[in-house]
Amino acid sequence: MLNSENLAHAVAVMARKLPPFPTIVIQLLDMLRNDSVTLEVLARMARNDPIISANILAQANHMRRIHAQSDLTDAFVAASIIGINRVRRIVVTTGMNRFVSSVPGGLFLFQHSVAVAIAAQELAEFSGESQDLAYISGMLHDVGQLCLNMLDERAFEKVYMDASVDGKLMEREAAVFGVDHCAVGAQLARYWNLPEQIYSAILNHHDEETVTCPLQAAICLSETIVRALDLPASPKNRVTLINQHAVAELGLDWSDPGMADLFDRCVTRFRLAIQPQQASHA
Amino acid sequence: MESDPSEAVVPDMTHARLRPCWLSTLEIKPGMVLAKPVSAVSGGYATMSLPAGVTIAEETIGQMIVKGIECVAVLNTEPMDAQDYAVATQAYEARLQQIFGPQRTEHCQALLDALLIRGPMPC
Repeated sequence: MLNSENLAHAVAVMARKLPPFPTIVIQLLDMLRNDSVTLEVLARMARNDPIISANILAQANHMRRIHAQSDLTDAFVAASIIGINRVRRIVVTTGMNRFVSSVPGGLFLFQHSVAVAIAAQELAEFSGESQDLAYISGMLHDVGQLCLNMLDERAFEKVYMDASVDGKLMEREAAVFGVDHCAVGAQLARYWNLPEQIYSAILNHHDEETVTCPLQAAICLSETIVRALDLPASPKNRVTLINQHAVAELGLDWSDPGMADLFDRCVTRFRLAIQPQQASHA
Repeated sequence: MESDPSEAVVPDMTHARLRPCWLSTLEIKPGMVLAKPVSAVSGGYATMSLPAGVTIAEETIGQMIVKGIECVAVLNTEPMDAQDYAVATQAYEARLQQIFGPQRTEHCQALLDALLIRGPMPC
């Protein structure tokens, strides 16, 4: 049984059994911290990674085919066409896909993480927060589930199914494993030396009562939004509570016409984002 | 506090069916017409500002992508048949009722109402 005293050690042991956290994502986070990321640097990093290069080429060629243009084969040229923001998303998304794909249930976890990342980025834009940090935090917010799944796959699945009925995921996880996936995920973020804001967002993303920072508020509400939009479609998607403090923190009004646009953008972007990954899982 | 599900809003879906289509900037084509303004900011400065009603040109698409614009709203020139949209709306509403459940808080009801008024994606 995990507890607050043995958690750091237990997570360090489990982290060594997980697939290595993509170095390229850590490099990207370092560059974001230094605010020195350029398209050239990113494209050079991506060139050394065949899967990331392939995804960059796929997005650029998707656009070129719509315009009846021939396919590109150079990832750097492709990166310059799709722009630095998309290259950043591809680096993070591809890295996470590789990280979770070997775990049972990894496809759903990956697609859910992509959906939350997109919604978090949209909320960050809406409220003037860092879109990159929001996207990366969204990709990582449920990473603790990988560890719980590793500890006992059957027990974790049962907890998840039971919680989809009563919404008490955290309580059920704590009852079975000693701690919930938020505490485990936050500890993993510590183990990987990720920024403090990401640690806080992961730790409190299911907290329905309080707000620790705008990033945590964005991740918390993104979880709600993607479940409400059924992204990805799953019988487990339920909305039973909404963190009203997070709504106030970000200044949201669900009846604002801008929110309907935000929902549409989330759906549009999610559909496009999972296309290459679905193909790689097939 | 819980609200009565029978008080759910019954929206007129015509507006939802005819609303603009959101498309990724990787999917838009020259000749499409912006339904909503598009703007981009870098370092505190506006680097792009296009009003609604502008016809999208080939070079504009490249500029939007490079400036990090993920998706844009374009005019819905081929709206879904009203009957097809009614069927899609029925399925969409039924799914939302499952997701939100029969007993919902006032805050959940507010989000549900917004999603019901929005309706399913028209494109």
